[in-house]
Amino acid sequence: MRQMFKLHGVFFLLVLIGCLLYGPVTRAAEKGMADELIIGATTGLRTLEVHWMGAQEIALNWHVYEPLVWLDSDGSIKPLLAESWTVSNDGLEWLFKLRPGVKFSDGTDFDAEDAAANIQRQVDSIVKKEPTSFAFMYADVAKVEVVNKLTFKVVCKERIGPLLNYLSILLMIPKEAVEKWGPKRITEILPGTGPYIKKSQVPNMGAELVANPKYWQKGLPAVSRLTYREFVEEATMVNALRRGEVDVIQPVNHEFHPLLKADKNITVESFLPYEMIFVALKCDKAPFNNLKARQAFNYAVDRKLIVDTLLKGQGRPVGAFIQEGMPGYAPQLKAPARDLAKARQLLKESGYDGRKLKFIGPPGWYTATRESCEAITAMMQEAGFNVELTFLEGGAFTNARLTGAFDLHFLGSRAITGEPQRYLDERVVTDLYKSGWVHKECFDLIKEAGRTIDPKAKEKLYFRIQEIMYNEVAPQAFLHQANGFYAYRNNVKNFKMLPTFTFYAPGVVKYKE
Amino acid sequence: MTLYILKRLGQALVAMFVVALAVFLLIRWAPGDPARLMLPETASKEEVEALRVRLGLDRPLPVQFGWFLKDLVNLDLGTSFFYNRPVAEIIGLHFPRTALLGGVSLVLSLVIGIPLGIIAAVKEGRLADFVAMGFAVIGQSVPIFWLGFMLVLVFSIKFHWFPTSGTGTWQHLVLPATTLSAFTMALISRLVRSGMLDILGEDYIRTARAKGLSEALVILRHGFRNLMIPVVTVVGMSVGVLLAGSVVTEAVFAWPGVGLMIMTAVSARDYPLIQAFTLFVAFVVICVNLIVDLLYVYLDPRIRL
Repeated sequence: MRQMFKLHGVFFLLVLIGCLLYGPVTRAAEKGMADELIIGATTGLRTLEVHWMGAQEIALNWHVYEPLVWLDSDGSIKPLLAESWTVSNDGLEWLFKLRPGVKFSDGTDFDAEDAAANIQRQVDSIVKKEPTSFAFMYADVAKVEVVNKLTFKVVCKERIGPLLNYLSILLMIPKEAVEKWGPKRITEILPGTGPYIKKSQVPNMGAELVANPKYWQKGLPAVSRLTYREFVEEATMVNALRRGEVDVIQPVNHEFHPLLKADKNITVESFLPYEMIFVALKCDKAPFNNLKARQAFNYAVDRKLIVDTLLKGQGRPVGAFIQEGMPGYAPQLKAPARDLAKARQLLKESGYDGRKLKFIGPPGWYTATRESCEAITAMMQEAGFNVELTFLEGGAFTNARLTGAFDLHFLGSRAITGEPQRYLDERVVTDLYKSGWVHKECFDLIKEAGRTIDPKAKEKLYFRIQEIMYNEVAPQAFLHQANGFYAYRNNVKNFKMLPTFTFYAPGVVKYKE
Repeated sequence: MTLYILKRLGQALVAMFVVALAVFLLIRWAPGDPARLMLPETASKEEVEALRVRLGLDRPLPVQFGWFLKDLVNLDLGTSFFYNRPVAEIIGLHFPRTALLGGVSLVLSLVIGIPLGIIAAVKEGRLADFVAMGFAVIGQSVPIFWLGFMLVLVFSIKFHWFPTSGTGTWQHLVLPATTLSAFTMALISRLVRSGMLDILGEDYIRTARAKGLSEALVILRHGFRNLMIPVVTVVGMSVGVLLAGSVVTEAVFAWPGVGLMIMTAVSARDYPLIQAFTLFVAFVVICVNLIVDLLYVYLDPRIRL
């Protein structure tokens, strides 16, 4: 009898162990979670260098290497690797306290030495005349001091107003890697603190990421493998989504919107990105050196018609450059309505001699680029401008802009830091694209805004800057803000595009179809 | 024979030199400064200049060309400006995929194009001829990108038979190879048809028939053998066509070969990569043509005389 009890006991124990082991498996099976998320994009990954890249490359890489702070979709700055920070009264010293217990994927601790080395690398790259993509943001950093293992201090020569925004795209790599590579371009995959580890990256193919078991945020990432697939043709990417070969595609041109909407397995979502489309005017040369000619342009262009027809209503006309969600958004500066009679009158008063104006357009970098440029040309001609429109290949277009070989050009500006300062520095004060517009008050205000940390004071300055540019129609005439689109299969949950045209996917869940 | 090969190798070297010089000059004449494109837009003039010095772009063109040739002699193709990796490594990574796609396309062109041409010739003026030549005309006149997308819509999206894009399995190869081979297949079938029609009127074909040989034997042994020289010539020429066509096909099917790589390299003004790739393609085409010339000797004994 005792033997029988023993046997029953063993049997019961085995059943219990079986249940315990089988339970989670069954729950996972019930949930039907998939273990790979494939994200398709038309932007290529050029480099393994983490401080020398564009928005999409940053978007993928911050799954591997994290910044100190996080720019949230509402424009606010949240702690990430830095737990907290304070700034001195004079605004010249920033003290950062790092989150304890964060490790790189190779098991080494992430500490203040690492953070300081990453910021110092930007400064050094300026000195060595090989600036990283973000170097100019740190030009006013005097030194970076390590206070203790988890605290460091950034001492500035001048106040850097948007420092936190700038730090939101500076990805952290180990100090040893910084010392090894210096300002030279990194060509190896490095350990990061992010939710994923980069397994491979092949030009024109994409990258493979696997979950980082040492990730400091418990429970993340939700999907154990993240694959980034590159496409040249957007139509190919759309077909791959329809066929279920990729799970998410981003961004998607609005012309594919109806096709994707018609597919019951796909969800299409839109977002309002920090991207502004404008026409830059050559303000130091006739006719646009005359305010009346610039105003004539402003009244000649029918922004509403472009948005309603060419963008199929997916966007909005704008009058100023700061987008909703960014500091200094000024909805009161409305897009001017078309007034052809006024445009003709102003052009006549400007003394325009009928010279043929060179209008250059980029390849299809933005939604309906070609159609918008053609519409603007026709509208200008109707107002009395003599315009010749030319579309240039990417390299030639950039070259023409940098050398000022244009009367007007079509362009867009994206604010990946969520701050307008970079845009203002590049396109107004430094006049990178040779608009030739000079306005001392505006330039001084921009410099002041760059040195202002207080959000309220900064906002006031941005309002005034925009007001001047709006009244002067210089150096750009703003056109519209186009909605961005992304699409995913219905078995994917929690995927969201950020206004910076980037994404962050550790919390994305994918179920089996 | 050895003298002939040496002579052809000499010609090949001259051709390679001309290609190298032409590409070197053409990409430098195109607007767009690689140093400017490599650096962030906010980089100062001094920083751009410093990078130009580091890349050697500040030196006179003959000096830069001399360096390029010197490196070439040492089998060093340089380092890509854009990817910051050795050019040989990048080409080595991508070219096998293009070679696979091109190779399969060429085989498809031959396997389908030759029988199609023979059938059209043998059935001249009949339905089979019209159908075969109809395919040939479509194959030669339809743009590659359009055909590619149509095949994807039908066979990937509608029937789910093949993947839309990418690499990995043999199924991934079917649609891009069919797309890329369409033009060459059409070219070969039309060439075979016209050649076969000429041959079928020859005296030796009449003799073969008079001997009582079966029609299949007459066509394959006496007809097709005499067609080999023009077919081999077209195959040689097709290698260049297939490499050029791979740029569009690879884009349509997201096939990560050299076609995609060169598109990126051109827009980034990646001089070392563009130069090396063009030279590499020239080298492949020249080698294939040399092989074709040597095959003539084998196929037509009169050339040996």
